[in-house]
Amino acid sequence: MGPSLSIAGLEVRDPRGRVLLSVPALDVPSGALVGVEGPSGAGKSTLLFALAGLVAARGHVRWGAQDILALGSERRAAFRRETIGMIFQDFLLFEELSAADNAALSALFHPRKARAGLRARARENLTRLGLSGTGARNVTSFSGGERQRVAIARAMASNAPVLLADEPTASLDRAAADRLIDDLVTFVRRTGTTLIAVSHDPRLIARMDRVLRITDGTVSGDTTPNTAEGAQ
Amino acid sequence: MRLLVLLAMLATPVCALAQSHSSHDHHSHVSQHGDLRAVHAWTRATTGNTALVFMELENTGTDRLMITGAQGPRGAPAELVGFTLQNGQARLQPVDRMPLNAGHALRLEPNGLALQITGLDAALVQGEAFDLELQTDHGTLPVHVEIGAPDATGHSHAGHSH
Amino acid sequence: MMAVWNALPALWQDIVVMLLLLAPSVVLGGVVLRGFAPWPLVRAILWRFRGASVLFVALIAISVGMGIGLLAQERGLRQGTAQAADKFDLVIAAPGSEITVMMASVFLQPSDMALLDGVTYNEIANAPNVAVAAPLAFGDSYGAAPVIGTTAAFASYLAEGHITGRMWATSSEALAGTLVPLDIGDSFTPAHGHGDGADAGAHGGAQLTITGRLAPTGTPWDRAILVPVETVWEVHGLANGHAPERGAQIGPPFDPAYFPGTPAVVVRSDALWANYALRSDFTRDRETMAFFPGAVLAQLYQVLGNIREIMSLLVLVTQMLVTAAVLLGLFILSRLFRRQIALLRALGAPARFVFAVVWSFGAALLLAGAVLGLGTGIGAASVLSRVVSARTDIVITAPLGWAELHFLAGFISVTLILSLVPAVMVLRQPVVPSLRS
Repeated sequence: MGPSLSIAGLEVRDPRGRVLLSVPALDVPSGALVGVEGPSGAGKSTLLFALAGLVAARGHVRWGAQDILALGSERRAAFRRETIGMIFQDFLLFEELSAADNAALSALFHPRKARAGLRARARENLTRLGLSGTGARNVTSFSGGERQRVAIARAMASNAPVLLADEPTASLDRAAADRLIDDLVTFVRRTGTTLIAVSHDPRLIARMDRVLRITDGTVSGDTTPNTAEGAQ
Repeated sequence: MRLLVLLAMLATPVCALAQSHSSHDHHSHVSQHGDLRAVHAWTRATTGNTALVFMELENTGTDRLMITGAQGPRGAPAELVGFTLQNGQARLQPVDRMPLNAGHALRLEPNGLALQITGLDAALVQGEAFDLELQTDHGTLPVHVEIGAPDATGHSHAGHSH
Repeated sequence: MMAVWNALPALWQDIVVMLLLLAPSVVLGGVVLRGFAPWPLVRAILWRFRGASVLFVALIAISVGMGIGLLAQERGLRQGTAQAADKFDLVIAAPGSEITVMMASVFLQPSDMALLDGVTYNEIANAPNVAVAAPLAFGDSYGAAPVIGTTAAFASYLAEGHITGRMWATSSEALAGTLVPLDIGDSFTPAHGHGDGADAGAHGGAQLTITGRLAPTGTPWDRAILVPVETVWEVHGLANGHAPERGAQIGPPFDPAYFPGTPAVVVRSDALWANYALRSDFTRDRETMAFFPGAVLAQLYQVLGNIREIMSLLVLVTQMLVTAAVLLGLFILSRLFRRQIALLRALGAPARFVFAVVWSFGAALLLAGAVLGLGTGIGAASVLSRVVSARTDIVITAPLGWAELHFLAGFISVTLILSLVPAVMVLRQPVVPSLRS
């Protein structure tokens, strides 16, 4: 069981002091699938980065008992290493490495004794995401959908209980996006991972347990469109 | 002003000449024992344990003298060495005995013949001096050695005629 | 401490210095990389920027190679010139410039010199412990070959007894140095002077025959034709060193009354100490000057030593500049992979890991450049040696010495420390803007 999320008084400002995001209170239980939608520049990605402790912010972002904003930057990194996986719109893979090496990237900076386990899990993740047998291939030859699967395998290699996704389907065509949504949702449901996905993609949003709408830096909507799937 | 005059006097060869005439055996620039005369002995300041001593030797007598070695300060051993160039590397080769014919002079100078003191137990400080015993087949000659700069190429009074 | 150091053999001292110079690199590498395996990423980055990487490695290799080549060459030149002076224990000449006399006698670059008379020569030749006292007579040439008058004893000594054919027996016979384009049995007429100014007709009557060839010496003498000193005197219309009734004699003893003079006498004594006695004896104001060419060279090397230091400094500064340029290039490159760097941070990579990746990238280029530079340096030194040897006839070999290795080790340590700077700069870049597409 992963940690639940509890936000209190979160506020992110730009260097000139303008408020980019303000979330007085928000709770997400462990294992929930949360979509974040809203117009461009409203603060969706800022929320995601604040949850990962990657931006300077005020207030509290508690994952379980741990307030990530109370940690220094190295302890935040260590926390992400264990708890949070991230994927991005354009995958951010190392084109020169194989799929398996990309998926097991974090093994490079984990202690030696943890590396074999990480590599095994990365391979396992690739298989689960339908990429069995392609691990040795260079990712340059991969389609967008395959790349995003490698990115998911990478994010989840350390068994992180939380996955933060920033527009995971925006670089894919419709068919590829649909297949990815299926695989992603199946993967996180099966592993009990908490997913928080920023997306413009209505098909992705439609598969979430709960949808937050962000406008002008505040949470302007909080709905649950898909209770049926969440109850499965 | 008096200091300046004194300095000027010290700097003139005449003054140095006058000094050399005033004393013989224990003068700081000239040592004489029997027929052997040693002039302008000097070495370079060093913190290492070896030093090369240079001087001008003159056999004023009628017999051939043989220089066999020397003894440095506080019993430090010393030997005659000759400069040679081997494969582009400067080397010092021991010279057991060095004859000095009657009426002849011998210059111990950089890149030539020298007395090498080994096993120095204290630094040689520029401006100070020490005594060295030059050993010959006619007895030993105490020589007063001035310590020059670490990169000195000659005695501070070299060129003066004593 | 100093005593322990001085007691170490030179080889050990060199090794210890080498290790000390490399120690910062090893410590730094250990501290930066401990617990990480950044190599797959470093390889990936190297491969992505392979064009720039190759260029950077080449720049470093060339600058390191030039530095090493120059340093090795300088030492090779020193050893080669010293080797050339090896046979010239003591040279006695009329008072003047020791360097002029040395250039004339050892390196066969004659200029006008005052002459020593026959009395002085005899005094030198008859001094105790003198094994060889060879007069030298310069001034003539045949093509590119200087024609040098001397004695048979000196010619044998120079070739260490290895003469193909036979020694000259008359004043119309000559020995060729190993590089002289004349064969045994060939005849030639020496010209007065050297090069373009040589007067081929001046010695029209003299026809000399090569009777032997000297073994290689690796010195400018390899290009010389050796003739009896009498020959040089005769072709100049002078007395030949012997009384008329003994006119056919070749070699010492010479009669002072018929001795036209020699610019220099090369002396070899049978004991080391005798050299010093002879030097003292023949150092006379206004009469003779005696010196060890080796000592003159040593003094020159001392002066050149300062130049060498300046040269080393310049080489070092050049290399630092190249390195700085390369490191700046690395920093600019690192802007291109800032998204991957940001990704690593997002995945929770410790700052030190990101730092290790960027530093290792630079270190890989620097080490590759340094190693290649070593090879380039060896190549450059051997090319330079060949060029200088061809121009001077002084055989120069410039193998790598400890000085160059120390230089390289110091270069590696300093630049590896310097490449911490771009790594720090990369780390200071904000993460989030790089993650946003």
